[in-house]
Amino acid sequence: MTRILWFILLFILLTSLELAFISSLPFPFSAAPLVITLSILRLQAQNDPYAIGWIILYGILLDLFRLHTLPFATLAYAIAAVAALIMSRLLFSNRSFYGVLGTTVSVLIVLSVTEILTLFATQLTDTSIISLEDYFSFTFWRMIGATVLLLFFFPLQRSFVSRIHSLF
Amino acid sequence: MSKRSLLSSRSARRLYLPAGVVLLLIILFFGRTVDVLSVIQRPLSALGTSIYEDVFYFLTAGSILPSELEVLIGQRDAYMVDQTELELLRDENNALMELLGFLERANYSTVSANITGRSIGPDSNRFLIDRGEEDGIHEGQAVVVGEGFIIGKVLSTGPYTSTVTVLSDPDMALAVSILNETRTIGIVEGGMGNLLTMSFVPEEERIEVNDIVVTSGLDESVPSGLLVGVINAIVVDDQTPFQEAVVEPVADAHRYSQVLVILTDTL
Repeated sequence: MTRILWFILLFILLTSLELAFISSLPFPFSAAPLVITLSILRLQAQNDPYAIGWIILYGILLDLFRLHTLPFATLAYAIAAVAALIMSRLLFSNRSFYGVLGTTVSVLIVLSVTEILTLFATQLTDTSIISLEDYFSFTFWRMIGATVLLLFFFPLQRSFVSRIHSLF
Repeated sequence: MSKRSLLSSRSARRLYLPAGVVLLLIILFFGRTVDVLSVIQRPLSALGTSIYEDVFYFLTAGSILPSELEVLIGQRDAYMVDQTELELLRDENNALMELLGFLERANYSTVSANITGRSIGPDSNRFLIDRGEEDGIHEGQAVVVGEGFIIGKVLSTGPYTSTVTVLSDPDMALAVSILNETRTIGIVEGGMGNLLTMSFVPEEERIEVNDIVVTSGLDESVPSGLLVGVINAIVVDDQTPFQEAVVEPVADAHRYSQVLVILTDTL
């Protein structure tokens, strides 16, 4: 039960930080994907497969509040979560900084491709247009943001994060 | 521990039951949960907005001090309010005493709301507020800041929260009127970055750069006379009998952490 409570509390904290604080910052700081980055850090460096639940829940939340520019955020984030699990087990199985970074960047690419595909699919019936150039720029800065977040959080994982890990 | 053993272990099975119970409780009391969370999110959003504003002034100030720029922006806003008020009062004097203008608009019932979250994506053009149906908010209502600058409309509502779409959203359309001689009416749409476009303006209509654009009142739930922006450029296409106005919104939703929602039943 404690584990579940911590899982939910941390999710609420991360989501609040990303949606309320980070998204209010000026671009490109607002592109930093806090929830995805820390989920993958927990998944890979701390070997906690349940951490992908944060990514899926985050997608559901975005759809629920219609806070994502593109439709079907749940689908895109669920695919990203599965990609994170597969890549952390099969492709970047190393728990080093570069391993985690490789998984994070790959997952962000998968997420972006999925989002763009859903955008194209919905544009068949919808005339609204989002500039692909802007979107690629956003994806690029999202990766930079993830790298910066990892540079900050990865060294902390052995101390702060592992203490949290002990609560799970 | 491998994934299979993790998922089938006794401890994992113990995990699913409380997880289900907790999730069920969250779903059942979702509205209240979100309401409580807004206590955390309000200061976070206000802090982020404050940083945004500092960076905005730092980047746009150039050779003048941020405080001077703030004064200039305040003066510009005041002039726009004065001019719009003047134009509308002139209209009133001409014939239509019932025309809704700023004087009457002050009587609208509004609900003050805090921004508790913003959308992510290439264009951050939606935000979450901590007021919902319980406060009388419905879809389509106008969301304003400052002296009555419209920044968006309510997209969806929950019992205690609502999502607002800003004017620059590609899906946004708003009925407007230009404060020129003929009070040209039309629709502004988003999808051009931070700018808006007003398409299909008949070429015989005389519109000019710096003309003020206000809401026309033809939109259900949106009163007339709310300031939208100023015309930044006019695009004339010889192939069509129409011209297009590029409108720059007066207010940037990113610079505010508090907004007002104009309630429909008071219109």
